[in-house]
Amino acid sequence: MTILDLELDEDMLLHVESRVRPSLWTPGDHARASQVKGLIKEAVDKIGEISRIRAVHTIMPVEFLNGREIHTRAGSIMSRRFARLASGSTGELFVVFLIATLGQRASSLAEDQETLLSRLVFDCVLSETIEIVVQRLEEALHRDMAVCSREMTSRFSPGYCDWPLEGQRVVFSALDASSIDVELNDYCVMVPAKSISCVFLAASSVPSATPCTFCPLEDCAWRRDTHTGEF
Amino acid sequence: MEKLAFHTQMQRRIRSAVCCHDAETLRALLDECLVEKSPGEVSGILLDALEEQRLNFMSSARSLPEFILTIDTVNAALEQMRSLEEPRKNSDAFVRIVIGVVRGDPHDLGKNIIAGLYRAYGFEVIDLGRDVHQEAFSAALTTYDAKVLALSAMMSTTMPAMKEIIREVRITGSKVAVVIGGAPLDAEIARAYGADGYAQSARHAIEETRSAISRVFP
Repeated sequence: MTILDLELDEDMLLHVESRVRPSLWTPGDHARASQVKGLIKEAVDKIGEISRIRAVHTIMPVEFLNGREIHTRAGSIMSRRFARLASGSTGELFVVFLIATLGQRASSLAEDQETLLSRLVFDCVLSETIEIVVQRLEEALHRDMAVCSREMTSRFSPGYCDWPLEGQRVVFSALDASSIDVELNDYCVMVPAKSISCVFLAASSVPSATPCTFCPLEDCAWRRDTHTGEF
Repeated sequence: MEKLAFHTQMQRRIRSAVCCHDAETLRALLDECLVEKSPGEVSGILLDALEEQRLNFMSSARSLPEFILTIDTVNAALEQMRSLEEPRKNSDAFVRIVIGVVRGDPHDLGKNIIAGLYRAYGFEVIDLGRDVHQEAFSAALTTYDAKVLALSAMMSTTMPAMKEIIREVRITGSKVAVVIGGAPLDAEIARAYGADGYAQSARHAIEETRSAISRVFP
């Protein structure tokens, strides 16, 4: 199990800012647009100052696989689509488990804001920040796998596609989340809230980056590019 | 005639201040308006201006940040009105709403937006926060004699708590309109849970709540 302490660099913060802006777009109102832009900058700066980004990951061999589950010693990933993706892989099959968090202090930044608008902006910036952190970690994991001549899928998280949120228990069983101060409550919700848990499949070759390849829901809001894994 | 001109001009200026999210000007206008009009009449003008912005938001002419800024602006102005003794006379005044996110769920941004929206529309809001247990909802309904219970859940694992809360409320015989909302819900689940209304988003919350109230309190 690997525990990582990470820092938000300038490039990541700029990336956060550029990704948040379109979602908080205020068409045709320059004064409001500049107010929102100022708030986004304030949130990004504050998050850059106080975030304590931590992550933990591990890799486990797949013990068995059938049409509805991928079993590791941490438990079973109950997803037909992910299992189908796994069954199309070649070579020894592994599951990489990952949890990352911005920490409690950063996660509660939004609720400390006085106005609804500030809360909305801070919440959006926090959500985008943890997304970008995990994206960076994913890129690093892809590089590590490439060194071992392995391919890896994009991330897959409990609560998405056909993997129920209860799948969090498998991820938390694979990793010591307390080492990065993340807990799972009785309802499979992570605390602090600005945390992400996910898994990846790794093998000599994987048929596609996401299970969306095998999904007939063409207009699904979460559908991802089967090669890049991007939405 | 002069009074009518004053009313029309004041309406226009208040609408403009709300539209431009100019809280300072809005406060000054309300002060000016209150010299001539009762707090009830003034809040009526203010709510008309808010309704105009909500309709713009519903038609996507206004973005979510803009509408939220409108709510912030109107709430800041309403604070001033609330300090006055005479109650407002709009139809939503005196309607007390208990709102909260169900137990186990820490996601309260949506609930906060809806609570802010309710306040801006003149409802009296008792906000229980997040991760709220069934007993706390029941106790608040009794203590505050609320007409509406608004529940939020953002996860599929926390959503079933709504059903238990609604069942408990019905068993105790409390006459209350229950409105629910949150990411994993839809109208069908809301019906199956026994809710009186389903607020799909901030765009729909006011209409759904009013219509739930009119069904439960015809």
